[in-house]
Amino acid sequence: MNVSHFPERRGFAGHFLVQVGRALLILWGAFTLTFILLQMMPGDAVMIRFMDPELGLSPEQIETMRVLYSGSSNPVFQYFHTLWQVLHGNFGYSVQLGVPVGKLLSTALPVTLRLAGVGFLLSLVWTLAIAVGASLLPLRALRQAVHALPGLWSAIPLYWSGILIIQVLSFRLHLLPVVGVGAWEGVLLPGLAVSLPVAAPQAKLLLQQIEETERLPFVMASRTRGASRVSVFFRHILPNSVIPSLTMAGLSLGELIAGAIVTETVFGLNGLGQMTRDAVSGQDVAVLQAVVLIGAAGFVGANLAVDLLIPLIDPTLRMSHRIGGGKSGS
Amino acid sequence: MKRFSIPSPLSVLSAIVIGICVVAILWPSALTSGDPATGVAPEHLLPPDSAHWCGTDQLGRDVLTRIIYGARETLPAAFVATMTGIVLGSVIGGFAALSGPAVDTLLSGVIDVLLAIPELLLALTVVILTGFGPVHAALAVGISQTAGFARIVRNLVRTLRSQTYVEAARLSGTGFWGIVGWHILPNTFRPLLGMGILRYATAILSLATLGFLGYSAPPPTPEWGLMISEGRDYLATAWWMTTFPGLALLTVALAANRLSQAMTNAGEERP
Repeated sequence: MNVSHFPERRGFAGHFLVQVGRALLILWGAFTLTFILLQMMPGDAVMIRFMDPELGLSPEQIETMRVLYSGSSNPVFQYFHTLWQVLHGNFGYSVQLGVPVGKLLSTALPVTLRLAGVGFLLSLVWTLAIAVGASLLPLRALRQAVHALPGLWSAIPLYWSGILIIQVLSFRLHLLPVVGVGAWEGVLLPGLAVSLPVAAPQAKLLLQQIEETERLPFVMASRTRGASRVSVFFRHILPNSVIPSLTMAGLSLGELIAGAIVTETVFGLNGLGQMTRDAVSGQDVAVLQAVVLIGAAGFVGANLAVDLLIPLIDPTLRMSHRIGGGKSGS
Repeated sequence: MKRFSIPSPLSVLSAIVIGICVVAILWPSALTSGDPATGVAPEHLLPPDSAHWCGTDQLGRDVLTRIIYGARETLPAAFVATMTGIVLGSVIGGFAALSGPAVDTLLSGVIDVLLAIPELLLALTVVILTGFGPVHAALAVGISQTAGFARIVRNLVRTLRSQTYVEAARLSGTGFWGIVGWHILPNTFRPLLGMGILRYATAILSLATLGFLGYSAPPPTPEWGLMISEGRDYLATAWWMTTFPGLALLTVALAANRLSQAMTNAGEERP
């Protein structure tokens, strides 16, 4: 983010509070936006489901269902009603399945969070490995090959890489079966599939940043003092280059949740993705709204976490703190 | 860094890829004599050989022919999607930058919220509203890209507005629309073009994702994402059914990325 990380007048706590407020505002905005959008639904999803002649419901019964599922037909009342409910962790009913969305979430969310977690960790590993490989590998051709990986990965369709991984790792090499495995083994391969496109922009940014840091005078200075390539890289170049891609990693958490939708389809996992697909096919508005809010929450939450972490990692910020002066960042 | 003005081999290759795509969109029959919709039943699930370079699918349809005809499904739709994003984004971003601080704050807030929602989820929200189909999918991808363009245009216009030459034009009596039309709009073209091509590559991938999930064109269509989805049933036996459409997507997306990069570099080189 291009927000300055340490404005002089507010301390870190103040700065963090402002960021929390901003995050809450964005979540509220996301709620409002999805509410407005989904109010525009052509035809009432409730009606579509219950007007099915096979159910043989009378108009009165349909009206009862309508009130039960959507509260009231007054949009302003409904907005505040829904907002109040969501604030209490109640995301309403799935029109399609007739169960509370919260109940669906309680089984689906852990699967997706595991998948996103594994994908996120692997993407960090890839990013670091690419940075190290592109800088320290012995042959110039090898370094260039590693350098080209992020560009390649960013163009890979997510579901396709998943399918390739199944074909190669499961069917050909029999490394890991796709079905009938435990909760964590089950998300390893999908996590690997998700990690590639997520790592791509992070790694690209880190490589750019490393190139810039390498040109700074203090790097030259430590080289001339006789420090080895490896030690200069790990002690000076990497710590001074890692911040922008850390911010990028924060931004990618929402994308990870979105990527899970596609990946879960490929690997047949019953998580948020499966839930979302069913919701879109069945015009299940409440479910989709919950998923969108979770996606947005992942995004703003990760941003907050990165905001907290950056002062601990950024050497220039640590330094300015030790000296006692604030730093108006760029 | 000064770069040579001779395009790199990769850029040339990318231009060739895009050229082939244009031919595939306009005259698919120039590239293949086959028919994407009808298969030869006994020739089903054949592995790649000299007659069928990319094999055949479960109905005996030639996969390469379907890929070639598939260009027509995804690539123009992705163009429409990105143009939708650019136009909507420019209107919103431009309006935010040129209006007063209240409107700017409100619109920037909306842009921030839209950027916080993952693009795929935003696209799915539009799809649930409008229903399935290729046109709706393109619209959904376009809307999901709008906030990104709006952010860029807003920042760009705000920067341009405070430039000295705009100030000079204003002082010499040029009206509001004169300044916008003559001094601001033309200067947003190049940055928007570079970003537009980059986002075009994303739009191709996003549209294929919607096709893969089954929200775009219905089954007999040779849409790349849909082909990959259909090929999933034959993963263990017919790897070519998923691999080649995916390679097509990858190649086109890479080519578009490369051209966008070449465009940006060329822009930097200008004095």
